[in-house]
Amino acid sequence: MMSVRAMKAALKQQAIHFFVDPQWVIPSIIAPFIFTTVTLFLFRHTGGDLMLYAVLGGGVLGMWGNTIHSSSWSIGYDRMNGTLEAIMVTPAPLSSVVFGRCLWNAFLGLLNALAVFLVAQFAFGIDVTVRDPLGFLVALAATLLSLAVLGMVFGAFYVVTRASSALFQMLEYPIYVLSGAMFPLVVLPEWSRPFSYALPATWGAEALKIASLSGYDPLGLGYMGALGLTALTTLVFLLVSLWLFSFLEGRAKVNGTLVRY
Amino acid sequence: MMRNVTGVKASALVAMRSQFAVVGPVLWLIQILSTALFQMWFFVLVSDFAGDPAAGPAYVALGNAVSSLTYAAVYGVTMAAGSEKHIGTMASILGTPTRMYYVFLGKGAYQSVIGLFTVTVSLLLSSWLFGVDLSGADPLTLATVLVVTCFAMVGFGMVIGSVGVYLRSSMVLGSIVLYLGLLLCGVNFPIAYLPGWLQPASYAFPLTYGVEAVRRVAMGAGLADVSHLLIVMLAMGAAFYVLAYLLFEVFERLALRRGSLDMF
Repeated sequence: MMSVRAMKAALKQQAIHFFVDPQWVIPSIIAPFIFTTVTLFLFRHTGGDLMLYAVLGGGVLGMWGNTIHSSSWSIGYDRMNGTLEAIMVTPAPLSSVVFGRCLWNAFLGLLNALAVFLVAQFAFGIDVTVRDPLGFLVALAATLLSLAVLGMVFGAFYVVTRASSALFQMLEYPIYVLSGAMFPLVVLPEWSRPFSYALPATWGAEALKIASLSGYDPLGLGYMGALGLTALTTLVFLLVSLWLFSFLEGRAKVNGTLVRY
Repeated sequence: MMRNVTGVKASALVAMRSQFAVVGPVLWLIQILSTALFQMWFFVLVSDFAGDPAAGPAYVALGNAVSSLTYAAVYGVTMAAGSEKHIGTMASILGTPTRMYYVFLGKGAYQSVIGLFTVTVSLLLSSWLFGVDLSGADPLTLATVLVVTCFAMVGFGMVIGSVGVYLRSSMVLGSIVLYLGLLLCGVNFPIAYLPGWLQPASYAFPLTYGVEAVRRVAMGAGLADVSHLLIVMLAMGAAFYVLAYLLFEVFERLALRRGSLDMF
Protein backbone atom coordinates (compact mmCIF):
# COMPACT_ATOMS: atom_id res chain seq x y z
CA MET A 1 0.00 0.00 0.00
CA MET A 2 1.41 3.40 -0.98
CA SER A 3 0.86 6.62 0.94
CA VAL A 4 0.80 9.74 -1.25
CA ARG A 5 1.27 11.96 1.80
CA ALA A 6 4.40 10.10 2.90
CA MET A 7 5.70 10.20 -0.67
CA LYS A 8 5.23 13.96 -0.89
CA ALA A 9 6.86 14.48 2.50
CA ALA A 10 9.86 12.30 1.55
CA LEU A 11 10.22 14.14 -1.76
CA LYS A 12 10.13 17.49 0.06
CA GLN A 13 12.63 16.33 2.68
CA GLN A 14 15.00 15.06 -0.02
CA ALA A 15 14.69 18.37 -1.87
CA ILE A 16 15.51 20.31 1.31
CA HIS A 17 18.56 18.10 1.88
CA PHE A 18 19.72 18.93 -1.62
CA PHE A 19 19.26 22.69 -1.29
CA VAL A 20 21.04 22.75 2.08
CA ASP A 21 24.13 21.12 0.60
CA PRO A 22 23.96 20.89 -3.21
CA GLN A 23 27.59 19.72 -3.60
CA TRP A 24 26.51 16.12 -2.96
CA VAL A 25 24.84 15.95 -6.33
CA ILE A 26 28.29 16.03 -8.00
CA PRO A 27 29.39 12.47 -7.13
CA SER A 28 26.16 11.08 -8.58
CA ILE A 29 26.10 13.01 -11.84
CA ILE A 30 29.79 13.12 -12.70
CA ALA A 31 29.98 9.52 -14.04
CA PRO A 32 27.09 9.78 -16.53
CA PHE A 33 28.26 13.25 -17.57
CA ILE A 34 31.79 12.05 -18.34
CA PHE A 35 30.51 8.85 -19.99
CA THR A 36 28.31 10.94 -22.31
CA THR A 37 31.07 13.42 -23.12
CA VAL A 38 33.44 10.55 -23.99
CA THR A 39 30.71 9.09 -26.20
CA LEU A 40 30.30 12.43 -27.97
CA PHE A 41 34.04 12.45 -28.69
CA LEU A 42 33.80 8.92 -30.10
CA PHE A 43 30.78 9.86 -32.22
CA ARG A 44 32.19 13.21 -33.37
CA HIS A 45 33.05 12.05 -36.87
CA THR A 46 29.57 10.63 -37.45
CA GLY A 47 27.63 13.89 -36.94
CA GLY A 48 23.89 14.43 -37.41
CA ASP A 49 21.31 12.33 -35.62
CA LEU A 50 23.87 10.01 -34.05
CA MET A 51 25.18 12.85 -31.89
CA LEU A 52 21.65 13.70 -30.75
CA TYR A 53 21.19 9.99 -30.09
CA ALA A 54 24.15 10.12 -27.67
CA VAL A 55 22.83 13.26 -26.02
CA LEU A 56 19.44 11.62 -25.38
CA GLY A 57 21.13 8.49 -24.06
CA GLY A 58 23.27 10.65 -21.79
CA GLY A 59 20.14 12.19 -20.30
CA VAL A 60 18.83 8.72 -19.42
CA LEU A 61 22.20 7.72 -17.91
CA GLY A 62 22.18 10.92 -15.86
CA MET A 63 18.77 10.24 -14.41
CA TRP A 64 19.70 6.66 -13.63
CA GLY A 65 23.09 7.57 -12.11
CA ASN A 66 21.49 10.01 -9.74
CA THR A 67 18.60 7.71 -8.86
CA ILE A 68 20.73 4.71 -7.97
CA HIS A 69 23.41 6.73 -6.21
CA SER A 70 21.15 8.90 -4.10
CA SER A 71 18.55 6.24 -3.41
CA SER A 72 21.07 3.73 -2.20
CA TRP A 73 22.87 6.28 -0.10
CA SER A 74 19.69 7.73 1.36
CA ILE A 75 18.92 4.40 3.03
CA GLY A 76 22.65 3.89 3.71
CA TYR A 77 22.83 7.21 5.54
CA ASP A 78 19.71 6.40 7.54
CA ARG A 79 21.39 3.19 8.59
CA MET A 80 24.65 5.00 9.39
CA ASN A 81 22.94 7.79 11.31
CA GLY A 82 20.70 5.36 13.16
CA THR A 83 17.45 6.81 11.79
CA LEU A 84 16.36 3.78 9.75
CA GLU A 85 14.69 2.18 12.76
CA ALA A 86 12.84 5.42 13.54
CA ILE A 87 11.50 5.58 9.96
CA MET A 88 10.35 1.97 10.16
CA VAL A 89 8.24 2.54 13.28
CA THR A 90 6.27 5.42 11.73
CA PRO A 91 2.88 4.51 10.23
CA ALA A 92 4.11 5.57 6.75
CA PRO A 93 5.19 2.61 4.59
CA LEU A 94 8.95 2.62 3.96
CA SER A 95 8.31 1.98 0.26
CA SER A 96 6.45 5.31 0.01
CA VAL A 97 9.30 7.14 1.76
CA VAL A 98 11.87 5.59 -0.58
CA PHE A 99 9.71 6.22 -3.67
CA GLY A 100 9.37 9.91 -2.77
CA ARG A 101 13.15 10.16 -2.44
CA CYS A 102 13.74 8.26 -5.70
CA LEU A 103 11.38 10.62 -7.55
CA TRP A 104 13.34 13.64 -6.41
CA ASN A 105 16.64 11.97 -7.22
CA ALA A 106 15.54 11.00 -10.73
CA PHE A 107 14.24 14.54 -11.23
CA LEU A 108 17.59 15.90 -10.12
CA GLY A 109 19.20 13.70 -12.75
CA LEU A 110 17.63 16.09 -15.25
CA LEU A 111 20.33 18.53 -14.14
CA ASN A 112 22.81 16.17 -15.70
CA ALA A 113 20.71 15.92 -18.85
CA LEU A 114 20.70 19.71 -18.97
CA ALA A 115 24.50 19.83 -18.53
CA VAL A 116 24.87 17.29 -21.36
CA PHE A 117 22.55 19.33 -23.60
CA LEU A 118 24.60 22.47 -22.94
CA VAL A 119 27.91 20.73 -23.68
CA ALA A 120 26.41 19.19 -26.81
CA GLN A 121 25.04 22.51 -28.03
CA PHE A 122 27.99 24.77 -27.25
CA ALA A 123 31.09 22.52 -27.23
CA PHE A 124 30.11 20.10 -30.01
CA GLY A 125 27.73 22.35 -31.95
CA ILE A 126 25.00 19.72 -32.01
CA ASP A 127 21.56 20.93 -32.91
CA VAL A 128 19.51 19.72 -29.94
CA THR A 129 16.09 20.05 -31.55
CA VAL A 130 13.51 17.36 -30.96
CA ARG A 131 11.00 16.31 -33.62
CA ASP A 132 7.98 16.06 -31.32
CA PRO A 133 8.43 18.27 -28.22
CA LEU A 134 5.19 17.18 -26.51
CA GLY A 135 5.92 13.50 -27.11
CA PHE A 136 9.44 14.09 -25.84
CA LEU A 137 8.17 15.64 -22.57
CA VAL A 138 5.71 12.79 -21.99
CA ALA A 139 8.44 10.21 -22.69
CA LEU A 140 10.81 12.09 -20.38
CA ALA A 141 8.27 12.04 -17.54
CA ALA A 142 7.61 8.32 -18.13
CA THR A 143 11.36 7.56 -18.16
CA LEU A 144 11.87 9.55 -14.98
CA LEU A 145 9.07 7.64 -13.27
CA SER A 146 10.37 4.29 -14.54
CA LEU A 147 13.88 4.97 -13.24
CA ALA A 148 12.49 6.03 -9.86
CA VAL A 149 10.62 2.71 -9.65
CA LEU A 150 13.74 0.80 -10.69
CA GLY A 151 15.68 2.65 -7.98
CA MET A 152 12.99 1.59 -5.52
CA VAL A 153 13.42 -2.10 -6.40
CA PHE A 154 17.13 -1.88 -5.67
CA GLY A 155 16.49 0.36 -2.67
CA ALA A 156 14.55 -2.46 -1.02
CA PHE A 157 17.72 -4.51 -0.64
CA TYR A 158 19.44 -1.71 1.25
CA VAL A 159 17.01 -2.27 4.08
CA VAL A 160 18.55 -5.65 4.84
CA THR A 161 22.20 -5.05 4.01
CA ARG A 162 24.72 -2.50 5.17
CA ALA A 163 26.84 -3.13 2.08
CA SER A 164 24.82 -0.57 0.11
CA SER A 165 27.81 1.19 -1.39
CA ALA A 166 29.13 -2.03 -2.91
CA LEU A 167 25.69 -2.84 -4.33
CA PHE A 168 25.32 0.63 -5.79
CA GLN A 169 28.61 0.35 -7.65
CA MET A 170 27.59 -3.03 -9.01
CA LEU A 171 24.21 -1.80 -10.24
CA GLU A 172 25.05 1.50 -11.91
CA TYR A 173 26.99 0.34 -14.96
CA PRO A 174 24.94 -2.75 -15.94
CA ILE A 175 21.94 -0.48 -16.56
CA TYR A 176 24.14 1.85 -18.63
CA VAL A 177 24.99 -1.13 -20.82
CA LEU A 178 21.73 -3.07 -20.86
CA SER A 179 19.37 -0.10 -21.39
CA GLY A 180 21.02 0.51 -24.76
CA ALA A 181 20.74 4.24 -24.10
CA MET A 182 23.95 5.00 -26.00
CA PHE A 183 23.77 2.39 -28.74
CA PRO A 184 21.08 0.30 -30.44
CA LEU A 185 20.12 -2.91 -28.67
CA VAL A 186 21.24 -4.93 -31.68
CA VAL A 187 24.85 -4.07 -30.77
CA LEU A 188 24.43 -6.09 -27.58
CA PRO A 189 24.98 -9.86 -27.70
CA GLU A 190 21.80 -11.86 -28.19
CA TRP A 191 21.94 -13.57 -24.79
CA SER A 192 21.83 -10.23 -22.97
CA ARG A 193 18.87 -8.76 -24.85
CA PRO A 194 16.11 -10.35 -22.70
CA PHE A 195 17.61 -8.48 -19.71
CA SER A 196 17.41 -5.26 -21.72
CA TYR A 197 13.80 -5.91 -22.72
CA ALA A 198 12.84 -6.37 -19.07
CA LEU A 199 14.12 -2.92 -18.10
CA PRO A 200 11.73 0.06 -18.17
CA ALA A 201 14.75 2.31 -18.84
CA THR A 202 15.24 0.56 -22.20
CA TRP A 203 11.74 1.43 -23.41
CA GLY A 204 11.86 4.92 -21.90
CA ALA A 205 15.06 5.65 -23.81
CA GLU A 206 13.48 4.16 -26.94
CA ALA A 207 10.38 6.40 -26.61
CA LEU A 208 12.62 9.45 -26.13
CA LYS A 209 14.57 8.63 -29.28
CA ILE A 210 11.44 7.99 -31.36
CA ALA A 211 10.01 11.35 -30.22
CA SER A 212 13.25 13.17 -31.05
CA LEU A 213 14.84 11.60 -34.13
CA SER A 214 13.26 11.64 -37.57
CA GLY A 215 12.65 8.14 -38.94
CA TYR A 216 14.00 6.38 -35.86
CA ASP A 217 12.13 3.20 -34.92
CA PRO A 218 14.42 0.17 -35.36
CA LEU A 219 12.13 -2.21 -33.47
CA GLY A 220 8.98 -1.05 -35.30
CA LEU A 221 7.16 -0.27 -32.04
CA GLY A 222 6.08 3.27 -32.78
CA TYR A 223 6.00 5.98 -30.12
CA MET A 224 2.90 4.61 -28.39
CA GLY A 225 4.31 1.09 -28.41
CA ALA A 226 7.53 2.18 -26.68
CA LEU A 227 5.60 4.33 -24.21
CA GLY A 228 3.20 1.44 -23.49
CA LEU A 229 6.09 -0.92 -22.81
CA THR A 230 7.66 1.68 -20.51
CA ALA A 231 4.39 1.87 -18.57
CA LEU A 232 3.96 -1.92 -18.48
CA THR A 233 7.51 -2.71 -17.27
CA THR A 234 7.31 0.16 -14.77
CA LEU A 235 4.09 -1.29 -13.35
CA VAL A 236 5.65 -4.75 -13.07
CA PHE A 237 8.70 -3.33 -11.28
CA LEU A 238 6.46 -1.28 -8.99
CA LEU A 239 4.56 -4.42 -7.93
CA VAL A 240 7.84 -6.31 -7.47
CA SER A 241 9.26 -3.48 -5.35
CA LEU A 242 6.17 -3.33 -3.12
CA TRP A 243 6.35 -7.06 -2.54
CA LEU A 244 10.12 -6.85 -1.91
CA PHE A 245 9.70 -4.04 0.60
CA SER A 246 7.07 -5.95 2.49
CA PHE A 247 9.18 -9.15 2.51
CA LEU A 248 12.56 -7.55 3.28
CA GLU A 249 11.19 -5.15 5.91
CA GLY A 250 9.76 -8.14 7.74
CA ARG A 251 13.06 -9.95 7.46
CA ALA A 252 15.09 -7.00 8.74
CA LYS A 253 12.78 -6.66 11.74
CA VAL A 254 13.15 -10.36 12.58
CA ASN A 255 16.95 -10.26 12.15
CA GLY A 256 17.23 -7.04 14.12
CA THR A 257 19.80 -5.65 11.67
CA LEU A 258 18.30 -2.20 11.07
CA VAL A 259 20.74 -0.33 13.30
CA ARG A 260 23.72 -2.49 12.42
CA TYR A 261 26.35 -0.51 10.65
CA MET B 1 62.00 7.21 11.58
CA MET B 2 61.24 3.74 12.96
CA ARG B 3 58.00 5.06 14.42
CA ASN B 4 56.92 6.31 11.01
CA VAL B 5 57.66 2.94 9.38
CA THR B 6 55.64 1.19 12.11
CA GLY B 7 52.84 3.71 11.56
CA VAL B 8 52.74 3.03 7.81
CA LYS B 9 52.72 -0.73 8.40
CA ALA B 10 50.02 -0.59 11.07
CA SER B 11 47.85 1.71 8.97
CA ALA B 12 48.11 -0.62 5.95
CA LEU B 13 47.12 -3.61 8.09
CA VAL B 14 44.16 -1.78 9.63
CA ALA B 15 43.05 -0.67 6.14
CA MET B 16 43.16 -4.29 4.97
CA ARG B 17 41.15 -5.59 7.93
CA SER B 18 38.53 -2.87 7.81
CA GLN B 19 38.07 -3.42 4.05
CA PHE B 20 36.16 -6.62 4.74
CA ALA B 21 34.36 -5.49 7.89
CA VAL B 22 31.28 -4.25 6.03
CA VAL B 23 31.61 -5.78 2.56
CA GLY B 24 32.61 -9.45 2.63
CA PRO B 25 35.45 -10.75 0.39
CA VAL B 26 33.11 -12.39 -2.13
CA LEU B 27 30.88 -9.34 -2.57
CA TRP B 28 33.97 -7.12 -2.72
CA LEU B 29 35.50 -9.28 -5.45
CA ILE B 30 32.25 -9.25 -7.45
CA GLN B 31 32.06 -5.47 -7.03
CA ILE B 32 35.63 -4.92 -8.25
CA LEU B 33 35.25 -7.25 -11.23
CA SER B 34 31.77 -6.16 -12.30
CA THR B 35 32.62 -2.46 -12.14
CA ALA B 36 35.74 -2.95 -14.26
CA LEU B 37 33.95 -5.30 -16.66
CA PHE B 38 30.81 -3.22 -17.24
CA GLN B 39 32.74 0.03 -17.65
CA MET B 40 34.95 -1.65 -20.24
CA TRP B 41 31.96 -3.26 -21.96
CA PHE B 42 30.06 0.02 -22.13
CA PHE B 43 32.85 1.86 -23.92
CA VAL B 44 33.64 -1.12 -26.13
CA LEU B 45 30.02 -1.15 -27.35
CA VAL B 46 30.03 2.61 -27.87
CA SER B 47 33.27 2.46 -29.87
CA ASP B 48 31.98 -0.51 -31.86
CA PHE B 49 28.87 1.48 -32.78
CA ALA B 50 30.85 4.68 -33.47
CA GLY B 51 33.18 2.85 -35.86
CA ASP B 52 36.15 5.18 -35.39
CA PRO B 53 39.22 3.23 -36.59
CA ALA B 54 41.57 5.25 -34.35
CA ALA B 55 39.59 4.29 -31.25
CA GLY B 56 38.34 0.78 -31.92
CA PRO B 57 37.03 -1.70 -29.33
CA ALA B 58 40.47 -3.15 -28.50
CA TYR B 59 41.96 0.34 -28.07
CA VAL B 60 39.13 1.32 -25.74
CA ALA B 61 39.21 -1.96 -23.78
CA LEU B 62 42.95 -1.68 -23.11
CA GLY B 63 42.62 1.95 -21.99
CA ASN B 64 39.78 1.12 -19.63
CA ALA B 65 41.64 -1.88 -18.23
CA VAL B 66 44.57 0.36 -17.26
CA SER B 67 42.28 3.09 -15.94
CA SER B 68 40.69 0.57 -13.54
CA LEU B 69 43.76 1.29 -11.42
CA THR B 70 42.21 4.67 -10.64
CA TYR B 71 39.49 3.20 -8.40
CA ALA B 72 41.92 2.08 -5.74
CA ALA B 73 45.07 4.08 -6.44
CA VAL B 74 43.42 7.49 -6.73
CA TYR B 75 39.80 7.32 -5.53
CA GLY B 76 40.51 4.92 -2.65
CA VAL B 77 43.41 7.07 -1.43
CA THR B 78 41.54 10.34 -1.97
CA MET B 79 38.62 9.09 0.08
CA ALA B 80 40.77 7.90 3.00
CA ALA B 81 40.93 11.19 4.93
CA GLY B 82 37.30 12.02 4.20
CA SER B 83 36.18 8.59 5.39
CA GLU B 84 37.99 8.94 8.73
CA LYS B 85 36.28 12.28 9.19
CA HIS B 86 32.92 10.80 8.24
CA ILE B 87 33.28 7.96 10.75
CA GLY B 88 34.58 10.36 13.42
CA THR B 89 38.05 8.85 13.90
CA MET B 90 40.12 11.71 12.50
CA ALA B 91 40.75 13.33 15.88
CA SER B 92 41.92 9.97 17.29
CA ILE B 93 44.43 9.61 14.44
CA LEU B 94 45.79 13.06 15.18
CA GLY B 95 46.15 12.06 18.82
CA THR B 96 48.61 9.27 17.98
CA PRO B 97 52.37 9.96 17.90
CA THR B 98 52.50 9.09 14.15
CA ARG B 99 52.17 11.99 11.74
CA MET B 100 48.97 11.98 9.74
CA TYR B 101 50.89 11.75 6.45
CA TYR B 102 52.33 8.34 7.40
CA VAL B 103 48.94 7.01 8.46
CA PHE B 104 47.55 7.85 5.02
CA LEU B 105 50.70 6.59 3.33
CA GLY B 106 49.94 3.19 4.90
CA LYS B 107 46.41 3.32 3.52
CA GLY B 108 47.89 4.22 0.14
CA ALA B 109 50.22 1.21 0.32
CA TYR B 110 47.24 -1.08 0.85
CA GLN B 111 45.29 0.57 -1.97
CA SER B 112 48.30 -0.01 -4.25
CA VAL B 113 47.97 -3.76 -3.73
CA ILE B 114 44.23 -3.60 -4.49
CA GLY B 115 44.89 -1.41 -7.53
CA LEU B 116 47.49 -3.76 -8.97
CA PHE B 117 45.15 -6.71 -8.46
CA THR B 118 42.29 -4.86 -10.19
CA VAL B 119 44.36 -3.78 -13.18
CA THR B 120 45.79 -7.30 -13.62
CA VAL B 121 42.33 -8.86 -13.65
CA SER B 122 41.02 -6.10 -15.94
CA LEU B 123 43.84 -6.68 -18.43
CA LEU B 124 43.07 -10.40 -18.44
CA LEU B 125 39.36 -9.66 -19.00
CA SER B 126 40.15 -7.22 -21.81
CA SER B 127 42.25 -9.86 -23.51
CA TRP B 128 39.79 -12.69 -22.92
CA LEU B 129 36.53 -10.88 -23.75
CA PHE B 130 37.35 -7.87 -25.90
CA GLY B 131 40.12 -9.01 -28.18
CA VAL B 132 43.03 -7.07 -26.69
CA ASP B 133 46.21 -8.68 -27.98
CA LEU B 134 48.75 -8.94 -25.17
CA SER B 135 50.73 -11.76 -26.78
CA GLY B 136 53.55 -9.39 -27.75
CA ALA B 137 53.88 -7.95 -24.25
CA ASP B 138 56.82 -8.91 -22.08
CA PRO B 139 55.28 -9.78 -18.66
CA LEU B 140 58.17 -8.28 -16.69
CA THR B 141 58.07 -5.00 -18.60
CA LEU B 142 54.28 -4.85 -18.25
CA ALA B 143 54.54 -5.48 -14.49
CA THR B 144 57.19 -2.74 -14.14
CA VAL B 145 55.03 -0.24 -16.04
CA LEU B 146 52.00 -1.06 -13.88
CA VAL B 147 53.92 -0.76 -10.60
CA VAL B 148 55.43 2.60 -11.61
CA THR B 149 52.02 3.87 -12.80
CA CYS B 150 50.48 2.78 -9.52
CA PHE B 151 53.26 4.51 -7.55
CA ALA B 152 52.62 7.83 -9.33
CA MET B 153 48.84 7.53 -9.11
CA VAL B 154 48.84 6.83 -5.35
CA GLY B 155 51.00 9.96 -4.91
CA PHE B 156 48.48 11.90 -6.99
CA GLY B 157 45.65 10.49 -4.85
CA MET B 158 47.44 11.57 -1.67
CA VAL B 159 47.76 15.13 -2.95
CA ILE B 160 44.04 15.28 -3.71
CA GLY B 161 43.15 13.41 -0.50
CA SER B 162 45.06 15.82 1.73
CA VAL B 163 42.31 18.43 1.29
CA GLY B 164 39.95 15.98 3.01
CA VAL B 165 41.76 16.79 6.25
CA TYR B 166 40.62 20.39 5.99
CA LEU B 167 37.40 20.30 3.97
CA ARG B 168 34.22 18.55 5.09
CA SER B 169 34.82 15.72 2.65
CA SER B 170 37.08 14.76 -0.21
CA MET B 171 34.28 12.77 -1.89
CA VAL B 172 33.30 15.46 -4.37
CA LEU B 173 36.88 16.03 -5.49
CA GLY B 174 37.58 12.28 -5.51
CA SER B 175 34.56 11.59 -7.73
CA ILE B 176 35.64 14.21 -10.25
CA VAL B 177 39.22 12.91 -10.41
CA LEU B 178 37.99 9.31 -10.66
CA TYR B 179 36.15 9.93 -13.93
CA LEU B 180 38.15 12.77 -15.43
CA GLY B 181 40.85 10.30 -16.47
CA LEU B 182 38.38 8.60 -18.84
CA LEU B 183 38.12 11.87 -20.74
CA LEU B 184 41.59 13.37 -20.51
CA CYS B 185 44.12 10.54 -20.34
CA GLY B 186 43.87 8.84 -23.73
CA VAL B 187 41.85 5.99 -22.24
CA ASN B 188 39.01 5.98 -24.78
CA PHE B 189 40.37 8.08 -27.63
CA PRO B 190 43.68 9.75 -28.56
CA ILE B 191 44.47 12.96 -26.66
CA ALA B 192 44.64 14.75 -30.02
CA TYR B 193 40.82 14.57 -30.15
CA LEU B 194 40.60 17.02 -27.25
CA PRO B 195 40.47 20.75 -27.94
CA GLY B 196 43.97 22.29 -27.96
CA TRP B 197 43.41 24.29 -24.77
CA LEU B 198 42.47 21.14 -22.86
CA GLN B 199 45.34 18.92 -24.02
CA PRO B 200 47.98 20.26 -21.57
CA ALA B 201 45.71 19.17 -18.67
CA SER B 202 46.08 15.56 -19.85
CA TYR B 203 49.78 15.62 -19.09
CA ALA B 204 49.20 16.53 -15.43
CA PHE B 205 47.68 13.07 -14.87
CA PRO B 206 50.07 10.13 -14.37
CA LEU B 207 47.42 7.87 -15.92
CA THR B 208 48.14 9.46 -19.33
CA TYR B 209 51.72 8.17 -19.27
CA GLY B 210 50.67 4.82 -17.81
CA VAL B 211 48.10 4.18 -20.54
CA GLU B 212 50.57 5.18 -23.24
CA ALA B 213 53.30 2.95 -21.77
CA VAL B 214 50.95 -0.07 -21.54
CA ARG B 215 49.79 0.44 -25.13
CA ARG B 216 53.42 0.41 -26.30
CA VAL B 217 54.31 -2.64 -24.20
CA ALA B 218 51.28 -4.45 -25.62
CA MET B 219 52.68 -3.78 -29.10
CA GLY B 220 55.99 -5.37 -28.11
CA ALA B 221 58.01 -2.45 -26.73
CA GLY B 222 60.70 -3.30 -24.19
CA LEU B 223 61.70 -1.54 -20.99
CA ALA B 224 64.17 0.72 -22.81
CA ASP B 225 61.46 1.86 -25.25
CA VAL B 226 59.19 3.09 -22.48
CA SER B 227 61.92 4.26 -20.09
CA HIS B 228 61.22 7.95 -20.76
CA LEU B 229 57.57 7.45 -19.75
CA LEU B 230 58.65 5.57 -16.63
CA ILE B 231 61.07 8.36 -15.69
CA VAL B 232 58.32 10.96 -16.08
CA MET B 233 55.99 8.91 -13.86
CA LEU B 234 58.69 8.31 -11.23
CA ALA B 235 59.53 12.03 -11.15
CA MET B 236 55.85 12.98 -10.98
CA GLY B 237 55.25 10.40 -8.26
CA ALA B 238 58.18 11.66 -6.14
CA ALA B 239 56.96 15.25 -6.53
CA PHE B 240 53.42 14.21 -5.57
CA TYR B 241 54.61 12.47 -2.35
CA VAL B 242 56.63 15.54 -1.29
CA LEU B 243 53.72 17.85 -2.12
CA ALA B 244 51.30 15.58 -0.24
CA TYR B 245 53.58 15.67 2.82
CA LEU B 246 53.59 19.47 2.80
CA LEU B 247 49.85 19.68 2.16
CA PHE B 248 49.04 17.26 5.00
CA GLU B 249 51.13 19.47 7.33
CA VAL B 250 49.40 22.66 6.14
CA PHE B 251 45.86 21.27 6.16
CA GLU B 252 46.38 19.60 9.53
CA ARG B 253 47.39 22.97 11.02
CA LEU B 254 44.53 24.79 9.29
CA ALA B 255 42.01 22.18 10.45
CA LEU B 256 43.24 22.48 14.03
CA ARG B 257 42.97 26.26 13.92
CA ARG B 258 39.53 26.19 12.34
CA GLY B 259 38.30 23.29 14.46
CA SER B 260 37.15 21.44 11.34
CA LEU B 261 38.98 18.19 12.04
CA ASP B 262 35.80 16.36 13.01
CA MET B 263 33.46 18.41 10.87
CA PHE B 264 31.40 16.44 8.41
